[in-house]
Amino acid sequence: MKDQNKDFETRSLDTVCVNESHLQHKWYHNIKYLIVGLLFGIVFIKAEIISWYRIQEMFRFQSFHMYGVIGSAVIVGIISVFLIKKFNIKTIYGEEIEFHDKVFNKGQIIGGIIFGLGWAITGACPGPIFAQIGTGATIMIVTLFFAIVGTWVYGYFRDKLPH
Amino acid sequence: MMVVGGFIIGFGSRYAGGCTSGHAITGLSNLQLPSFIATCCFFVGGLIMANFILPYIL
Repeated sequence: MKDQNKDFETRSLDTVCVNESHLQHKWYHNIKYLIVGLLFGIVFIKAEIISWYRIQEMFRFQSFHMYGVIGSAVIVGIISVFLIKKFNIKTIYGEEIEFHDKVFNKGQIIGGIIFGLGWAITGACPGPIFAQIGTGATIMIVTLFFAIVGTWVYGYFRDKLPH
Repeated sequence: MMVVGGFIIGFGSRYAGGCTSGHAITGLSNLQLPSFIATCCFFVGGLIMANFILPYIL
């Protein structure tokens, strides 16, 4: 139990909202997450945001495409968060949705720049990696593997890094 | 490239406490200043790589 608690605390440092469900469900209750994930992947591909060239265009200010996609996602997100807070909307099982304020630390600057470098090299961020593999870019399996290695190395050196 | 890129994506996103979706989209949606700072840094990193480093290594 103690380990679980520590994990929860670590996660609440990193996430916007920690909505850990305390309910137990049968496996088929997970199908709805599968459907949302599938839709998310389809949207990624249709919006072309998994394309390396689109990412390069964005960073070279050659196209409005990615700014449009991210900008509209943020606007929809702001409206959603506002509505959830205003009407106190519950999850599908009637559980409370909690938002946690992010706490600033130096990692967001250093880590942010490191992430940005990787984003421009591979044209991938952690979500789209999966969609890229799905489109047949099997080389991305290597990227995925080393991304996981990267998160592991971070976890290993977490206490020694400036935050 | 894929090895190094993958490694720094994983490392950087954990270090920054979120990736593009975590900070730029959900973080900004919740109007969080740290997420805005992180998003700016994602862009700084990306700009440096796309404009100054990639042209030399490709």
